Amino acid sequence: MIEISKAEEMVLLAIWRLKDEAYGVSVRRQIRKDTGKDYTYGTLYGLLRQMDHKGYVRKIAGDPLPKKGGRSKTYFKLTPAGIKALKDAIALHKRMWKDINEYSLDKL
Amino acid sequence: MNALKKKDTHPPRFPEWIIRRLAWDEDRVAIQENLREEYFYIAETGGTRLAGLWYWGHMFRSLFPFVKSAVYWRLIMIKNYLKVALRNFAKHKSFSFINISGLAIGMACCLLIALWVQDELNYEKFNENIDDIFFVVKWNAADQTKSYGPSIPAPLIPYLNDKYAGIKHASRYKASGRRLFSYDGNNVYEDTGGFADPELFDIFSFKPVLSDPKTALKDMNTIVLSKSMAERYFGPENPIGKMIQLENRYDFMVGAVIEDIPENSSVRFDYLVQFDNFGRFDNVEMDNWGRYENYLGFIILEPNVDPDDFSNKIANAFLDIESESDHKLLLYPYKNVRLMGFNNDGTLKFVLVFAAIGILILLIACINFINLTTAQSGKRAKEIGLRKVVGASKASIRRQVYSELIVTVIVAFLLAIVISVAFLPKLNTLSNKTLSLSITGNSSMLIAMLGIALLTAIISGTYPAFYLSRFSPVNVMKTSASTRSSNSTLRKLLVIAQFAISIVLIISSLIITGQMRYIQNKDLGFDKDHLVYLDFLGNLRSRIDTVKNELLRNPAINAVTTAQSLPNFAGNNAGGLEWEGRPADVRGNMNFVSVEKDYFKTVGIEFIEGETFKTVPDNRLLREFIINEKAIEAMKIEDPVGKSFKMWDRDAGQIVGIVKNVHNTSLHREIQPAFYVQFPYFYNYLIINLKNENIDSTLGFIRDIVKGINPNYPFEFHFLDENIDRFYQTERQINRIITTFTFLAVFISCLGLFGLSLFMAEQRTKEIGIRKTLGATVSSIVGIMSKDFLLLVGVANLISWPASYLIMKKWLQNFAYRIDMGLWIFVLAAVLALFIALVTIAFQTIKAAIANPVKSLRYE
Repeated sequence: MIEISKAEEMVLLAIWRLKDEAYGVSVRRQIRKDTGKDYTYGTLYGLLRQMDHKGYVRKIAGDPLPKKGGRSKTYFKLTPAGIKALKDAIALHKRMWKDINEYSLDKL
Repeated sequence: MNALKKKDTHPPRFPEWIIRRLAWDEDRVAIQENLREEYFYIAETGGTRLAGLWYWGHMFRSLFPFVKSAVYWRLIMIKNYLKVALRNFAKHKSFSFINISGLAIGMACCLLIALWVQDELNYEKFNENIDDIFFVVKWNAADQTKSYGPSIPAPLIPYLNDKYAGIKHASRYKASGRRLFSYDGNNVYEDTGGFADPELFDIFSFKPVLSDPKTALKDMNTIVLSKSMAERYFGPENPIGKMIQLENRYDFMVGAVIEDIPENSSVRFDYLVQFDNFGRFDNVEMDNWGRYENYLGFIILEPNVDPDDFSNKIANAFLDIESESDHKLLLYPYKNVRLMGFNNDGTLKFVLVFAAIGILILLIACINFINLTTAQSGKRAKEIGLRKVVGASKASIRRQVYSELIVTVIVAFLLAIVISVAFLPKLNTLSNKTLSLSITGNSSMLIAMLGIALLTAIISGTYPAFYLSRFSPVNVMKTSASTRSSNSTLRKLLVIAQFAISIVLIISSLIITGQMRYIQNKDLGFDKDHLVYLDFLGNLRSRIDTVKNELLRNPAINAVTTAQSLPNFAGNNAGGLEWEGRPADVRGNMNFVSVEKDYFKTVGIEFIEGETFKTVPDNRLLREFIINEKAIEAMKIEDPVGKSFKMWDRDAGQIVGIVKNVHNTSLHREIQPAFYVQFPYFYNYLIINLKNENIDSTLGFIRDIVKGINPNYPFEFHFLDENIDRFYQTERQINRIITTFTFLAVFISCLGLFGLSLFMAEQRTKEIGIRKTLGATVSSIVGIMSKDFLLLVGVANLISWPASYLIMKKWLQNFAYRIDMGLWIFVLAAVLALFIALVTIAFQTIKAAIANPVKSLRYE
C-alpha cells in the first residue's frame, strides 16, 4: 500500500493523462486544466525530483528539437510503482468515502 | 512576428539568473527551457510586456519552493557526508586525533586570549556616563617629553568649578594607603579605600545598596562601605549607623553601602570617606597649591559644552594662581586611560600582542588541518573520484569537505571549552584577573566563541575543499595512491610558516625571560636584599630616637633610618628651587627625598664627595642638601659642594655632599636627578638593614619593640626586594603568559609535524623496503627521512630571525637599561627548534627504518 500526497497524486495523474507528451510545460498546463492550481516550476520540479527518487516516475530524454542548438526535452513517464501508487490512491479514496456522498455530510 | 525584435526575444535576464542560481543541477536546464517556452507563448499571444511580468511573478512565487527543496536535498547529502566523515575518523585514528587535539588547543588558546582581551576592552565600561567622564590632567610645558599626568593639587577642582562655567559634576579622588580600622575590639588594616567629594557618585555608576552614598559622603564623619566589606564587619546586621574607628583616632558612622565595584574599574575602593579627611589623616595642608599634588580630578561637563573648547579654556588656569607657571591643564577622556594610558603607556600594546598570538596559534592549528587533509588526500582520492563519476559537482565535494570539517571543528570546539574551563584559573593567576567563562553571563563571549569556530572552519577548510574538488576522476582512477600527492610545495611552505611563527615566539620568550632575569639581578646601587621597612606611624614618629636605640642594640641589625620614600623611588617633585650658579634656562625643579642622616648608611648609598647631614633636623630650617650625580648634570653647575641651595620659602642652605646614582625609578627609565634633605614632616617609612642570619628571630625582636611603642597598630613589615618586584609585575605576567603560549604554539606545530612524518613514513614504506634490501643502514634511512623536515625548519629560522630581531628590539626599547640581543639567543632558538622537530619525527622515522623490508615489500 503506497500512500502519496494530494500534490503527488495530481502530478502523477497529469503525467498519466499526457502519456508520451508529459514534460514540464504540458504537465503544468494539465494540472491547471484539471484542478485550477497554478504550480510554479519550483514546486513542480521539486515534486518530480522527489518522486523520481522514490521511483514513481522516470525521466526520458526526448529527441533534440529540430533547430540549431536545440536541446532535447526531458519527458516524464510513470513507472509501474507510479501506476501502483495511483491505484492505491483510488483504492484508499474509495475506502475512505465508502457510504458517504456530499449530501450525507450535511446530516449530523 | 516581426514586432518581436531580437533583444525582446529573451526572457528578462535577472529573474532567469535567479532561477538558474536556485535550481539544482540536474533539472536546471529543463526548468529554464520550460519557462522560456511559456514565456514565448505568452509573448506571442499577449505581448512581451505581459510575458515579462509573468516571468517575474513566477520567479517570486517559486523562490520558496526552490529553497525548500534545496534544503531538503542538502540535508540528505549531509547525512551521507557525516556518515562518511565518522567512518574516516575511525579509519585514520591518529590523523583525526592530531587534527582534533591541535585545533582544540588552538581554539582554547584563542578563547582564553579573547576572554582576556574582552576584559581589557571592557574596562570602565560599566559606567553609564563613560563617554562624558574626563580626567583633569596636568602637563609641563617646559618638559620636552610633554608627558601628561593625572596628579593635580587639591584646590584645583573647586577653583575650576567656581571660575569656569560648564562643569556639571566634579570630584576629587585620592586613593588611600593602608589604614587601621577598629571595630568591636578588632584592629584590621584595610588596603583599598579612598577620599572623594560626594559628586563622585554622580560621575561613576556605583550602585547603592543601602541608603544614598552621595548624601552620606557630604558629612565629614560618615563612611561609605562596599557590600563585601560591610558583610565582613557586620555580618547580616544592618550596618547603617554603626560606628567604626579609623587610625585609632577618628570615629566614622556607616552612612551607606554600595555594590562591590567591578574588577575592571580603575577607581576601586572598599570604603570611601569625605575628601577633606585626607588632610587630617595625613597632616597635609589641603588648601595648598604647590606642595603636594597627588590628587585625581574627574569632571563631567554640561551637555552643551564642547570638551575641546573647555579644555582650551582651562589650559592656562595655573597662571591665575602662580604668576609664573609652566603647568598646563587638559581634559583627558577617562575611557581611554586603561588602553592608551596618559602617555601611550596603557595596555593596548598587550591587547594587540595577545590578540596576535591568539590568531597565530589558531593559524598554526589550521595549518595542521590543511596539511594533514591534503597530505591524506591520496587516500581519499578514490572516494572523491567515484563521487564525481556518479555525478557529484565540485561544489558538492566542497560541501562534503566543509561538513567533515564542521564535525571536526565542533568536536574540537567542545574540547576547547573543556580545556579553557580547566585552564581559566591558571590564566587568572597569571594575569591577576577574575575572568569567568559562562554562556549565560556574557552573550558577547558566546558570539566571540562562535566567531572563533567559524573562523577556524573557514581558514582551515577552504584550501582542502578546493584542492580536493579539483581532482580529475580519470587521473584518480588511473594512478596508484602512493604517487598522487606529490604536489607538496604548499605543504612545505605552510610547515615553514608554522615553524617560523613558533621560532619567533621562542626567541621572544627567551629574550623577555633574559631581560626579566637581568632586571632581577641588576645592581641597583643600593643594598636591596637586606632591607626591611615598616610604615612610620603612631607613636613611632614622636619616639623615633628611643626606637632607633632599642633596635640597634641587636647585633643582627646593621642600621636603622627613616625616610620619605624607599630608595627605589625618586620621591616627589619640588618646584621653586634656587641654587647658586643656576643658569637662567634651567628651571628650579627636581625630585626630592626627605631622609634622616643614617639613610645613606642604612640603604647602602655611597658618597662621592662630602658626607651625610650633621645638623639637627628641623621642618623649618632646611640647611643641608645632598644631591646625586645626575642632579649635577641637571643643575648645570660645577663643584656643587659648598654652593648654596634654597627650597621653597625656607632660608637658603648648602649642598654638603654628592652620592652615587642609584636606580631610583624602574629600569624602564633613566635614573632621575634627585636631592636629599632632612625634612621630618615627610617621613613615611622606618627602614632597617638586617644581617642575613636568623631573620625570623630578628623580625621577632623588631616586632616586640614596635608593638611596645605602638600597641594599637598591627605589626606589619615588608621586604624591599618584594616592593621592587612590583615595578615589573606587568612584564612578569606578560612574560609568563607569552612563555606559556609559546609552549603551546610549539606543541601544536610539533603535532602537525608528527602527523606529516607519520604520513610520509606510510607513503615511503616501499621505498624504504627497497633501500634496505639494497643495503641501506637504519641510520642512513633515518637521515634521508629527517633531511627534508630539518631543511624546512632551517628555512623557517632564516625567516624568523630578522622578524624577531625587529620585534624584540622594539620591546627592549621600553627599558632604559636592557640586555643585548646576542647572536647566541638566535642560535639557541634554532638549535631548540631543530632538536624539537627531530625528536618529533624520530619516532616515525626510526619505526619506518627498522621495519622489516619483507613485510613492506610483500604485496607487489
